[in-house]
Amino acid sequence: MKYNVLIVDDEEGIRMAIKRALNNYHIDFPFLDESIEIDVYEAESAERALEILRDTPMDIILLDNKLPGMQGIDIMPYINEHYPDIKILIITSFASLDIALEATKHGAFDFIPKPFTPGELKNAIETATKQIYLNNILKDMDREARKIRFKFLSILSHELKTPINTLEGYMMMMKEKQLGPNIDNYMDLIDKMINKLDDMRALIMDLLDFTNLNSDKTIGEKEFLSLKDVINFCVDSQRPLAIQKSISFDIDIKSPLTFFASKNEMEILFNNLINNSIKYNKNNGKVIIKGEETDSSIIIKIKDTGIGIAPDDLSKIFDEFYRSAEAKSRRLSGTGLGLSIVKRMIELYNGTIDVASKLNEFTEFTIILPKNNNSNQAIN
Amino acid sequence: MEKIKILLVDDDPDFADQMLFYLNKFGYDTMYLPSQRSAESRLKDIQFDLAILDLMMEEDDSGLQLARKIKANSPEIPIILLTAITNETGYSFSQEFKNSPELLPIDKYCEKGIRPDVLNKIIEQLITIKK
Ligand SMILES: Nc1ncnc2c1ncn2[C@@H]1O[C@H](COP(=O)(O)OP(=O)(O)O)[C@@H](O)[C@H]1O
Ligand SMILES: [Mg+2]
Repeated sequence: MKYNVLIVDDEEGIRMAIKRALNNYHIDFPFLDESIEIDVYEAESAERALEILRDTPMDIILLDNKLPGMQGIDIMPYINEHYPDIKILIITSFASLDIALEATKHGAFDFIPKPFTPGELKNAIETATKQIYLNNILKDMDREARKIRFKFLSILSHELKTPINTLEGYMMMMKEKQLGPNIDNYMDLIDKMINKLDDMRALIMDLLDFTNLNSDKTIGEKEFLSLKDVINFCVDSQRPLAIQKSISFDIDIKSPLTFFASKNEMEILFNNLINNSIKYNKNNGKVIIKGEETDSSIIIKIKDTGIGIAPDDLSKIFDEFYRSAEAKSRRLSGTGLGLSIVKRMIELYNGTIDVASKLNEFTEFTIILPKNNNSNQAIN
Repeated sequence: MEKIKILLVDDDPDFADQMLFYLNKFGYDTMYLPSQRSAESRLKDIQFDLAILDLMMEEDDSGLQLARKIKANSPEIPIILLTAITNETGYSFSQEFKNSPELLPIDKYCEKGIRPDVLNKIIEQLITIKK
């Protein structure tokens, strides 16, 4: 796919610099199979730009604010009227930023303050390109699946980019020595950067679980397992975390809870739930796990005495990437993927998961796994 | 002269850290709240001259909901809405609403990656318009 970009600037130096920056520039979107290439055209005046527009369709115009003859701003209404799909980016010196801000009210898509780096230029072009692409697909997109894929991937790229932006922000502060020349002043900031990196690592691990899940393949072989053993194993592996917050476990499982499943998957499932019950608990809190079985199903309850979940959030916590405001504002790190993995996993085994909670008092997850799910029947 | 007081509502504490740092550096008084819910519960007893709101917090349009509530009581307070979505989705609010700005309680949309000095310019502009 190719998009045409027209540079309108009377200074040859600027036109050259922009051309150089955009030379061989491709834009890749996570939701697009092919990348977008940019073809660059140039005009040294507004009048010349209008001539070119008559012959060649453009997608983006980089419009210098100050031109000899007709001004950039003067031709905007004309372009908007005759070529409404073209995105106009105003190039402006920092001093006349006010004019540029004004221009965005009258149809300019965005502005690029001079002097700009090639990175800033590309960023602005990327944003405009995505806008154009989105407009185009919205025109002919009715396939639900594509929409969902689009939504998931755009949230995903958001989740991946946010921590990168945060890291970049902190690094810029260091590079510009915003806190003075002494490295000791930056320790707090460096700790935050390290935490962000840990978050990103966790996100990548969760994503690997998540994409595995969607590939319809079981992670590991299925076998007859004792879920009681699996749960005890998960509790043990998370005990260090619990000890930090002086959280105690109260586990009441009488029978072995035999279930035909992949051990890996069951560990991912219970690790996520138990991890949440510690992470969202209070100091000196409790985690109460009960397990029992009937002829047809296994019922497991995991309850904690933690921060709870607001009624409005209850329906959302199983959504991909959803995290409650409480979770985020307490700086409890997480990806928001855990429960969506848990839910999908349980559904693969034809089970159900429900949650009950009272803010600031408790949260209880109830899992019901049918023993006679397809895979179990196949063996029995 | 009294310092200008800016309310920042954003659920990303790291982003908020950085914003507050620059806002303070530019000489503003700041107040920070981490969610739509916490902001709503405090709106009655706080005073500020300008608000910077994150669009997506508890809800996809938390920032807009908050903006409506602020403007309902104090229509003169300028509001900047921060979005992190244009870059990912290509979805742009300023485009969407450019034909009907009066319908929206927002004075300016900004991308979250905005350069601090540019943001400061926007703040100055909004504050002088108000005066
Ligand atoms: N035991 C719990 N107590 C309180 N809130 C919880 C609990 N488990 C999950 N939540 C809420 O559900 C959200 C989603 O959980 P999850 O998908 O595991 O993501 P993460 O733990 O990475 O944030 C959490 O951010 C939190 O707000
Ligand atoms: Mg979790």
